[in-house]
Amino acid sequence: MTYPLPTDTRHTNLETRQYDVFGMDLGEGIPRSAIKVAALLFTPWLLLLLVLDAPLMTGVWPTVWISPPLVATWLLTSRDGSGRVRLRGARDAVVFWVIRSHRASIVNAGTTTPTEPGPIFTDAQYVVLPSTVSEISA
Amino acid sequence: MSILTPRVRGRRSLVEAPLQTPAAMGDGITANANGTAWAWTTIPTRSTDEVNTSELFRLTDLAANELVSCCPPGAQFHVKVQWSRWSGQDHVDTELAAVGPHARDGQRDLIAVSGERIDQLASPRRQVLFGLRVDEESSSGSVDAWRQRIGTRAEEAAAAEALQRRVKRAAAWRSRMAGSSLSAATATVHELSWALRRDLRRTVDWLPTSSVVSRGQIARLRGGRVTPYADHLRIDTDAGTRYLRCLVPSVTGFPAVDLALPGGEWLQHLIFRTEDGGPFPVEVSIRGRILSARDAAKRLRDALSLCKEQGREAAKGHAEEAPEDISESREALSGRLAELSNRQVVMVTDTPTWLVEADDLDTLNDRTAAVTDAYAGMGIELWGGRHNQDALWMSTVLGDTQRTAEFEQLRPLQTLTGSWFHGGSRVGEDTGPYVGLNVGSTPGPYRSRLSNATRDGDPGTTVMVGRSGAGKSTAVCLHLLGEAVYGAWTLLTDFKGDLHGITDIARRYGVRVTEVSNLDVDAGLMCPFRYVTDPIEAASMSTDLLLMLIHPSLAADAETRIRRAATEVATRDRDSYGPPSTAAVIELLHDSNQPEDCSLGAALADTALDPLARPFAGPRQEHAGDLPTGAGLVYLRLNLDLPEAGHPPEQWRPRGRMSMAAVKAVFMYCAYLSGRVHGIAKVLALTELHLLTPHQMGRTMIGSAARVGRALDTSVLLDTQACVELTSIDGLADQISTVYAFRVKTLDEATAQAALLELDPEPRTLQRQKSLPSGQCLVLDRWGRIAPVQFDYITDDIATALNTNPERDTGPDGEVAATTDASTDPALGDDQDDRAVVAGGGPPRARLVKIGADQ
Repeated sequence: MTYPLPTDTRHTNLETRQYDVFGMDLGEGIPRSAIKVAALLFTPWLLLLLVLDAPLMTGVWPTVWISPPLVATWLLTSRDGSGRVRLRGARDAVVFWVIRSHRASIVNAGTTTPTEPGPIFTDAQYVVLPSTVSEISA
Repeated sequence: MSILTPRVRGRRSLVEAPLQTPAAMGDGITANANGTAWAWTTIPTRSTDEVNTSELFRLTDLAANELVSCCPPGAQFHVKVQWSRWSGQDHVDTELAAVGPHARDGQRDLIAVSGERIDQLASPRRQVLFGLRVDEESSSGSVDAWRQRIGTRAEEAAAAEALQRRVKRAAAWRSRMAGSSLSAATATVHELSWALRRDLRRTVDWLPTSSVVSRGQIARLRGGRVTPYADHLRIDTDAGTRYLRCLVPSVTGFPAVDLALPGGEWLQHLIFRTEDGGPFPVEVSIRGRILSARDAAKRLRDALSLCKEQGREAAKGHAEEAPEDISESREALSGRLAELSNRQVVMVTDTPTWLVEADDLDTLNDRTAAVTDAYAGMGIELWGGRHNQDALWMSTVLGDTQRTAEFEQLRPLQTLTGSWFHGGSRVGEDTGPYVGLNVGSTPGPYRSRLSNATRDGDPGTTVMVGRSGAGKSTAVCLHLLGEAVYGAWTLLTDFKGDLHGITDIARRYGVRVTEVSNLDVDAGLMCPFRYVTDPIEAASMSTDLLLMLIHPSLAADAETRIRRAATEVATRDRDSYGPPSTAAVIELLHDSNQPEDCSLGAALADTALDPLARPFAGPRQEHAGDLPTGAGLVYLRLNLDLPEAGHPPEQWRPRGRMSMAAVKAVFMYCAYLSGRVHGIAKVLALTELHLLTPHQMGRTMIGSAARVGRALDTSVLLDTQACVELTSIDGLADQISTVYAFRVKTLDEATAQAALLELDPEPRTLQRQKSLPSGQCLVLDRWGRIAPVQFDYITDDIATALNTNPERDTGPDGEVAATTDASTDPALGDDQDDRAVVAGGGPPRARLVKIGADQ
């Protein structure tokens, strides 16, 4: 005798597949997330090689045209320990190290975090004072 | 809105937005500067470690249904499970208040050493807060917002009205929660302040004392520094830097169908253990939302549509059908939609976050591994966030918000209530002498005062059952010591002679002790004529006792003679013949000129000299004092030689008859004396009853003692190895309010114990009863709660005094006498503390002693 404790996240967080592209059958299908990432990676890479007038069919160049974005697509769309695609983890790392001041401490529950400065007006008649203290600290 | 004020827009900005904490707190409510308001309750611990499976299911359903009725659809909730430490000082303050302003030195001493012991054990103490956001405005609130924008409503008036609505909404919700089976109480300012300080600082050195907290007090609570790293955070505390890591379930980390009760209570057991370290508690924060039926149905239908689309697309090409998980999801979603439409389920989205804490990074990694391994065993995958520890941590802080939706779980509300975040091992009294440690999922000091049951009108019989060497006698003595020190009248029968140590230790704590034994000095002390006021009643009781000394075949003829003599002794002039006594009855028969009377008297006179009969039939020793009727301990020591089990009275040996008569005299004496004690608590402890229960007479005496105990407002403590025989006594079960079930050997005994504990005889229950360690038992308290308890000697001197292991002399090979087992204590080993570390002085008075195999 058991009492089930189900969770439906797996059923609502499905990895959908694309089974055909422009009428071309893709067999067992390609994950749509991979297609989107591939499009984002292949497009600038191919454009770059086109601009650089890279050879297409000689020597190792066919590999150079395909492999880097392909490997990057595979890497970024594979799942990490969080269950997300690695692209998300890469985004978090970029945000953590580059965009947010990494290792910036949260002091006194963030009350000392400076707010972003707004536009500075030199004409006094356009200076608007906040009516309540809460607006300043928001 | 001022153009100088930055706005927070979109999910990405939410991750980077500064931490939000309350700007003001009152009892049951917190309010942020940005207008967010939360209502708060504390959920007391339920005792669910040992409930029957069917009861567990019923309670899970009940909790889910009541949360649905208490919380409006669409409401955000926040559950916080946090740990502090049980405080010895709290125990001391509570107990000194209970014993009153005129506490004796012995009472203060016992309370003080108990407090030291509680501090030493440093058991984690859990607090569960359940909060509901109350500032998400209804349509009327939106109308007000528009009026404000177009200038038809004063801002202050709107704010005041909004505040009033929120306060009313919060109060109404708290009232509904209090009336539910969760028995939620309004969270006090003290509790909310502690929770916030714990979030931000980990150690709590100061708490406000006012009923409303704002401004400077809030600023003081917020003080501290938290530095996020890629995979952990470092928090400055009063005891140095603490390392913290937030774990969340992976995106699909919860199993779809494999988690179930019993065994799937995924938040009940939050004390983990590393391989080489001690146990450590883990805190949990769950932010979520109770979805309205419409929102839930939309989510499920959208997912179902996607499943159908995948099926159609796959069918068009070579794949022919979608992967198996798509078809499984389609079936599950259809079923869930049907349940939703039938109102069988309410859906929630929630993000649980586990907070693992340590003093250094290596320990943090070990503990993280221990927690993730433990949950992996339940099929739940946890992930220690990388590059988002700050966002995950901020989401757990009181007053903040959910910052990431990636790890949100969608499930029926029953899965959340089935986690039993509020379950545990609560048992015992809230006040009273400390006698042991609750070693269940929510550990803590176990306090017990048996006499409280009769004070409150509950049945007053407590039973201790278990095999020899399991620790019952020690438990009896610890209870009695506490009762006696606290001012009760207590009486302990010792039929084996190994409990004498209690008299020494009781005297050391200022208890008046009176000892009674088979020795000459106590001859006649339990003679009915000595303590029964009505001499005719005494004569009747004396007759019964004397008849038990005679072989049953001769009793019929002897009864008339003995009764006549007893009546004559009871009614004759005392000045001429001296005070009446059972010895005087024997003497009257012996001096009779009737040959039969004389012969009978001679036989009884010889018998009365035997140590077994001496206490009630021996000649009265004038210098022996009467037994006390005030506070103290009466220790009755009788070396018995009871009849063999299964023998009818006709086959009893003379010593067997005398022993049964002595026991009868003790029971008569106890019952009568307890009736004479008034105005104070009374506790009667009858030990080794398995020596009596094989005999019908013994079972009758025990049942009678329990019934008389209730009538005389006396708590009766029964100690026996034979649970099966005890449960066969008519009417006893109705008198039992508390059960201590120690280790047993046989399946029959385990089954009988399960019946006493009101548990179904499931295999795991029976197996556990057969494998409990020494000194540990399952306790069923008078409120029906069950939890495991480990009894505790508290100090070395108590351990030495109450040890019942036989001592051995030092032999030629230097073998040392085995006394107490001074192994390390069952303390949890983590140095997590709410107070700043205090520099040590001398060694503490209370040394750690674990109860060994003694009886």
